[in-house]
Amino acid sequence: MPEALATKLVMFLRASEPPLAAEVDEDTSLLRSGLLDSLSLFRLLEWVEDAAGTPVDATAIDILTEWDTPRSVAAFVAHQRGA
Amino acid sequence: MSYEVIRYRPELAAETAALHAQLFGLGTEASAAYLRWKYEQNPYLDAPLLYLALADGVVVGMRGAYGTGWRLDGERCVLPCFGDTIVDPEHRNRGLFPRIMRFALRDLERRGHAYAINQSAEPITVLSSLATGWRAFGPPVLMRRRSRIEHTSRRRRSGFPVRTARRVRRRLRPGRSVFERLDRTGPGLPAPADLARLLDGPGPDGRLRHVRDAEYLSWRLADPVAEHRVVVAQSGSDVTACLVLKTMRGNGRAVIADWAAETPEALAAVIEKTLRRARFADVAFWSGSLDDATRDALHRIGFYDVDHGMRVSLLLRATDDRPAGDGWRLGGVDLLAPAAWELRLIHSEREFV
Repeated sequence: MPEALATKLVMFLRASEPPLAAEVDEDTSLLRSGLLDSLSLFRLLEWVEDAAGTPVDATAIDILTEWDTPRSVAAFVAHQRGA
Repeated sequence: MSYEVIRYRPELAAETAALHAQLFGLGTEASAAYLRWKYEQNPYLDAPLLYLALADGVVVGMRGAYGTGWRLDGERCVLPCFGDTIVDPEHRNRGLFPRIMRFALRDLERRGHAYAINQSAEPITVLSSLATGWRAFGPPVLMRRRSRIEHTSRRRRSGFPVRTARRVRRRLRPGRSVFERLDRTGPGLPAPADLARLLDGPGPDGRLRHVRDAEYLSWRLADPVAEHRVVVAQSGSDVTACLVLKTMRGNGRAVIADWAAETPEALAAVIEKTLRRARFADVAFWSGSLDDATRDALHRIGFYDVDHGMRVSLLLRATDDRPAGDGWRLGGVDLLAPAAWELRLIHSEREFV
């Protein structure tokens, strides 16, 4: 399931408007690289909440580690769904 | 377009103020006065820690860090506190915010500051900060009490009685001081040294305590975009409680920014008496933390807890890239534990109302 989620997120990010400044795949660094600006970060938070089906308090987690790549975001969502 | 990030230089004061004016909407002159006060007159730092992004030599982005004083079991330290973040709309989505932050953090590290804080982050800044290695050590406690008239106006937006609406508007009218009624009985501001004796609290208690000494209060109360009033309750010649009220100019709302009281009941009594006299439409109470007895006392006089989610966050970061998991500590204290801090809104630029 995390793999399918990661692919979905990659497609979501590739459809960003305005487009992101670099190509994205499942292992692209989104945060450490500075690829996502503040608006894109908000969209990512919304995507995570939609996918997890629950509100997420981003201040309670280390998003720099847990959300750095689409694959790690997908793992986070899968964990939230299972929690 | 070529960007560079630099430390503030006095010859860029006018350009910086013009950019900052977009943030507060107070006009360039007011922004210039505010920046001079906050960064050049700050009592804890010799030089302003204001970081600017230039596009072809023109100021298009800024972030500031002003000095804040803390005491931990008798030892004093200064933590730079970030705020005043703005990037000109035409230059957004180009990675300027993380670029300014990287430059600022390296500069702070070189200057010997191991940690920086942020007490006034907007939601958008909170998320961007978390994505660049900041961690939340809040959230703070936020409580508020609305007057019956304000409460009614919010509950009955449709079909709201016209006379009541006028009364609400009159109270919130721009240009009219929210302290007008209070000023008729003249609480004013005591001398900073007297106020420091009331606020600077008891001795060491193992927490990082925000310093409110005379030097700090002289500076803080000179904030050109905020107004403060101090109310002192006495029993005979003994002070039993003290409140510092704050409003941002033109905002029309009041917040209890700081306080000291012998007991929770004494605090509730002075608040109740002050609110009866001042008739604020809306008042907020903010604290880094609050014990149950004080919270109960405030509930009894009509305050309720506000679930502010990510709108209010207290943020911390090591200025080097050491992750939080390695232990962000000062004098043995875990800085990510909310209970490690004793802080009040008087230290922040936000009103949280």
